[in-house]
Amino acid sequence: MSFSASVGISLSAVTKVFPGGVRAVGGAEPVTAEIVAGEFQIFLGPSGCGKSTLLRLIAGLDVPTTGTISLTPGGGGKPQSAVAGDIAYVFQEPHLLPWRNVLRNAALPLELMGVPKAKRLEQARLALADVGLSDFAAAYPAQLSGGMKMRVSLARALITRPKLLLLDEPFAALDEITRQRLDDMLRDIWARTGMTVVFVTHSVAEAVFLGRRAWVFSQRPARIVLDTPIDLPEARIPALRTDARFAEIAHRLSASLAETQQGAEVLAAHGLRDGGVIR
Amino acid sequence: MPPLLTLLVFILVWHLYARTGRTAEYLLPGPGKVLSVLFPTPAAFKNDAELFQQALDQRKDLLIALGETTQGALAGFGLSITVGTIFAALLASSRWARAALYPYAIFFQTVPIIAIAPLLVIWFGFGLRTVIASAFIASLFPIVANTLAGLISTDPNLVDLFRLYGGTGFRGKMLSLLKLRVPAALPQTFTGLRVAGGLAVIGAIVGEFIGGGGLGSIVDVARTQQRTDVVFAAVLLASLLGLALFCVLGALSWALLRHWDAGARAN
Repeated sequence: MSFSASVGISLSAVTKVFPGGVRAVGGAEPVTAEIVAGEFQIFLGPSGCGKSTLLRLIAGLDVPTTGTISLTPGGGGKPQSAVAGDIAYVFQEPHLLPWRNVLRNAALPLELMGVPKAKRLEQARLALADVGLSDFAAAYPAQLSGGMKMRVSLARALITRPKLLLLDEPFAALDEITRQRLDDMLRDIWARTGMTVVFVTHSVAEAVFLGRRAWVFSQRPARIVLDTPIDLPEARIPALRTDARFAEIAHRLSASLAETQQGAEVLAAHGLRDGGVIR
Repeated sequence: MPPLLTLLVFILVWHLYARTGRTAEYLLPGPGKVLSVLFPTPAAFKNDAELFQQALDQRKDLLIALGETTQGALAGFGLSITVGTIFAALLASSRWARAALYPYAIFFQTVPIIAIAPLLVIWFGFGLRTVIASAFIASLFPIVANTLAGLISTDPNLVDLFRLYGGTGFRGKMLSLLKLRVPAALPQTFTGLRVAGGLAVIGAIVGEFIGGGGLGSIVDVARTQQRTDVVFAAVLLASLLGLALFCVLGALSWALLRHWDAGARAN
């Protein structure tokens, strides 16, 4: 499988305030940042900090209150607007259609885009092979384990050959072994395809193992408190998890996370727990 | 097996009690007496040819009445499925429509069918049309309520997924309705249909009490003649009709939902 292109993301003075005054992203300091095309970008932050909201904004599922988000082609050039299939989104839970078998679940995005049946089922078979589920094409979601359902969800995201893959804590609900297997698989698919990946997580270890660059977010409203490259060898083998460099980066990210946590506790001590709410 | 056992025990107790004669037979006929209304044999009438012929005629009337009630109940049920699902889709499509109309749907549901039945006769006259209207009104609400609940409780993440690939235009909305909301609502719709099927039979019989025809008027006439055995036989046929409807719907829901819905698999 090869992809035609990847896209970079340009965030310019982005904020998101929900009805009721809840600031989810960029309060006093709007978020301005760049993700280069082909990056494996990590969003690391405490639960409920607004990093998922930012991911939804990038996907175009929601619009920013202020600021702009634009996609820039890999080779440089003018910002472009995404067409269906350019962006894929993987949720925290698999969210498959329980009345469809695995093959037809994987083919869903192409079906919605109007691709003819024979063509989309053929593509779905390829996508399932990519996640190692060829033998389960005829099975129904109710017959699969949690990890297998997540792989179907991944195949569904990959079937359009997206330029940008967004994942919102996709493996958080899985057991450790399954999660590491899926991490390996994802990293492998990224290395083969060259698409841009944005991966939201609250696990420091997962962030360091997977990513090439990490943003650490503050408590809500989310803003970037640390932007750091993850300088590790491209081949992310299991042994890396016990490497000294791995530990050093993990320590730095943890420290940064702990700071934002402490900041929140200080606010809470002053009765300002809902620091994100405009009163 | 257990339900059959319950039935056998119940019939046995009924039979033994009826035999003691503590309650007069014209008040509580035994199961044998009721059964001989449905399956008359010369022996049950002490080989009296005239009485036996009367019993055969009575049974013929009952079976014709069962046919009439089935017709009224099914027509009313079919009407409430059509109107109910379209109405539910309308309510689901707009928050405004829901707020404006749903309270009245609930109010409508609390009006007892037996109270409006006389009005139906005035509007639709004696006969089948009143029966259909009555079955329709009695069975409409559970279909609307359950289908609506199913349609509006669609997983918001899947709605997002459909938007991502199908867009937000008319085409995207139709795809989301047909390929996501409708199938996702099916289990709840079937729950509503199973409740509504029984109510349609009840509604039809209430309609027949006043509008005439079917098992309803057989019960009404037999009551005035103190023929409790005939009343029991008619009631038995009516509940068998409700049960048959329930089983057909159960089988249909199993066939459609067996792959995914735990409720359908359990049935």
